Amino acid sequence: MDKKSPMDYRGAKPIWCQGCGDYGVLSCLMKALSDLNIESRDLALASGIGCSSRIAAFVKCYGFHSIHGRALPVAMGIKLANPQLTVIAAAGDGDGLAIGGGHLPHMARRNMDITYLLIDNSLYGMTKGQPSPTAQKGVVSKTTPKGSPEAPLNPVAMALVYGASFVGRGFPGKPDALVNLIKEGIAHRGFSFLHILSPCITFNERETFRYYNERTELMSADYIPDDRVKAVTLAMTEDKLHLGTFCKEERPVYTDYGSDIEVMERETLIKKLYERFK
Amino acid sequence: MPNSLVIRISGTAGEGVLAAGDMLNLAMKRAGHHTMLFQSYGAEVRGDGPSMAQVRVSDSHVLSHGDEVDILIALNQDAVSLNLSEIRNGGLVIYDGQPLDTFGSQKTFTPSLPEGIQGISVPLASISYQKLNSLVSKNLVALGAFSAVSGLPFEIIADIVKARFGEKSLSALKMGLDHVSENIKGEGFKVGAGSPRPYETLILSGNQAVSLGAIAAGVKVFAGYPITPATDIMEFLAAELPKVGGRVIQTEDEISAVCTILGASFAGSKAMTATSGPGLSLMVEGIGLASMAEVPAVIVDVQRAGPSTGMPTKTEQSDLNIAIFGSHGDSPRVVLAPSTVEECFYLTIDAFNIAEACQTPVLILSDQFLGQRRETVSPFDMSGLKLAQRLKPDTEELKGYKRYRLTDNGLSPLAEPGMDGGEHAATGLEHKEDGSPSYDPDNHRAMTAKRWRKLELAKLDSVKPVRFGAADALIGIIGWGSTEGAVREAVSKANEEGLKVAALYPKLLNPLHTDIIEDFVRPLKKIVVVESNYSGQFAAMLKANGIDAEQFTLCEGRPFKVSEILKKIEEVHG
Repeated sequence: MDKKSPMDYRGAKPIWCQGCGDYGVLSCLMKALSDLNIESRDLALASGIGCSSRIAAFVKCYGFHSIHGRALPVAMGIKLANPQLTVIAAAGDGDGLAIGGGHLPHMARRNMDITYLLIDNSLYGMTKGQPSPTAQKGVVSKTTPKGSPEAPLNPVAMALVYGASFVGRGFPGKPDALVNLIKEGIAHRGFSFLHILSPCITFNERETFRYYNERTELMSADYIPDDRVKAVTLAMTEDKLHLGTFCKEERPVYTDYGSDIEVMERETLIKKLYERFK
Repeated sequence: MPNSLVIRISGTAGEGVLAAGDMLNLAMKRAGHHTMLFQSYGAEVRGDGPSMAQVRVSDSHVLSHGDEVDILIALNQDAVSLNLSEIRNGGLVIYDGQPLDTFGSQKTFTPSLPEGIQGISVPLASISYQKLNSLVSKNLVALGAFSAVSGLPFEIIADIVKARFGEKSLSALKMGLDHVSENIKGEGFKVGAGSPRPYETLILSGNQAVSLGAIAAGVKVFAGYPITPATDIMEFLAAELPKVGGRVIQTEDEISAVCTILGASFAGSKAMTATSGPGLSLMVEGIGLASMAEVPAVIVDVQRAGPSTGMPTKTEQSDLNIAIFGSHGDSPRVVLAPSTVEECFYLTIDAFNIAEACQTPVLILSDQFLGQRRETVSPFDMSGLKLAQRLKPDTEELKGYKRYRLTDNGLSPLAEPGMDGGEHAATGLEHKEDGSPSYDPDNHRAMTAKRWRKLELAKLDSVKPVRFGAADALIGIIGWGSTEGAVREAVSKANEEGLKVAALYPKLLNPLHTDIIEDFVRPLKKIVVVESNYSGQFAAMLKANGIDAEQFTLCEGRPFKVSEILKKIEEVHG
């Protein structure tokens, strides 16, 4: 097999605003894919709706740019149909935590071998800047002219409590760590939740590259991601947002169940079933 | 035996009405008869809501559940008065003449039955409670009594009870039998055994037939969310599909279910979901995506009375509009409607074939009456089974592959993961031939037309409308789905009376075979559209296609009676 380069995964030309964090996410993803030497034909990327979800067309692979909030169920269907594929789901914070928020706990429970990129810019970019579930309380926007009264969600803590078997955070401003995180997430056999901070340079004046550069720090080398409770505590108390793996747990994946069943021909089964109806 | 016999078991939820109906139906089939079991019950699993199971037995295929009751088995006092008006003159009631009150003391009960209806008193509660120390065996005592009254061979019903509830339950059955044999003299309704047939029939529900059809068609992924009256499809497939290498997943909601099957189909597997009205409402955005992204998918809707939560256990045909039009935009899809349990099998295979061949969503409109009734069917003929394959790109096509290439018939070769060069992004955005987003007006028109063109292919491949009745008819009935059996009976009775009536049942509801419908309508004086909904959804659709007809609708959560349709025919015929 030829060694891949990141450019081998170049799909359609991205249409994001110049300087958008999503370019960094895309290049880190392409680097991670090439490091893992994944064949484009064996890679599926399902996404929802929003700026970041356009990524499904920007990577050379089998992409499915679906509907708002539904990246995870589409990815789940792909994995169920063909567990051999590398399956990635990508969603924004509004896409994945508001309209599609109901799917996350169940994907975590199922532990399907899917890598989920939650690409967070704390607002709805495509509709021009309304607050998302990760927007800070008090944020002023056209739909919250007096400031948003709603508190932000903590995506990493949520994923940990839901039981995702791999939980991490990355930021394209610190690309080496993000490439490593994506690689680790894909390599992990199970549901990997990757919270990716991706500043919107057009509508977000608060969560900027500078803001995250100052407010993030790499997870200490001493940190061992084997304790969920410790990871939750860290996610809920951190002054600086940690980049890296919070928790990692090996456990059977959904598609392991039932894989030991002896398979027969369809007609044989139907004839057997006839006996039950006689 | 008269040419058909209707036995109704009536009681409250928790008294074992449905179990008794199921066992009686199977026993009648094993005795060599054709049967149909119809159930009507509340949404509550326990409580004091009435429950009813009705078995109709005949020596030819049973078309409908039966208008009048020949034998009523009343498991409690209220069940007698509740059903009295539906028992025919000359009918018979098996009732509990010594029921127990709330404190367990015996009372006596003598129903006032009109002249012409015979009553047989059996102490169901006393036998069950005093001899067997439980009230849950009333239904078995009643089945034993019925066996004595009807001559249904005791061993047949005993085998079924034993297989379901174990050896110890046989005493209840036997005590019911003995009570009647020892105390009641005279002829009951002798059903006995039917005539032997060259093959053994099966007893299947519409939902089971859909499940078997899906297996036969090669479904690989089923995703669903529990909902009455469609849940048994998921339950059946959960146990069986893994045996042929498939997977069933219970998702967190119906939105997830429909998106899961789209993902599975995108990855190359035949995929299906099954739901009822409220679930279909949640799925419509996904159906639009399937339409736009051209992803094959089969969606079964076992309709129940709506709107909203409606009457979950009651039948209705009121999802035609949402099936055809649900979802925003011009979103083409195919809609099929089976009429019988047997058709549930074959049309499910057709649904997969059309979905795969036309790269489009296909909906199957069943309903509670069809999905949950159990009737005798011949084993399915699988020798001539043809399964459609997706149009896949060849090596040439994969060079500079265009997923949505514009073609004369609208079909573009569909690459699936694993194919080198077939990488593309399926999308719900309007797109150019290569799948990239486009807001170009000419492109939008061309792509929309391409998606609609594929419906013409579905029309070519689909089963044609079925016509029955008089060749020189003056009056025509058009209907769809589960009303067909009752209409067939009414039409044949009307024709026996000398009226000239025919009926047409399209199985493909979208797109319509309008040419065939127009040919049917042309020589007729009057057309009546029969359907179980309030607003006449199919009649409105026919009207939109230039076919004017009188509506005949029923909005009571129950199937039509033959007599109601016959009366309508007589009225229209004049």
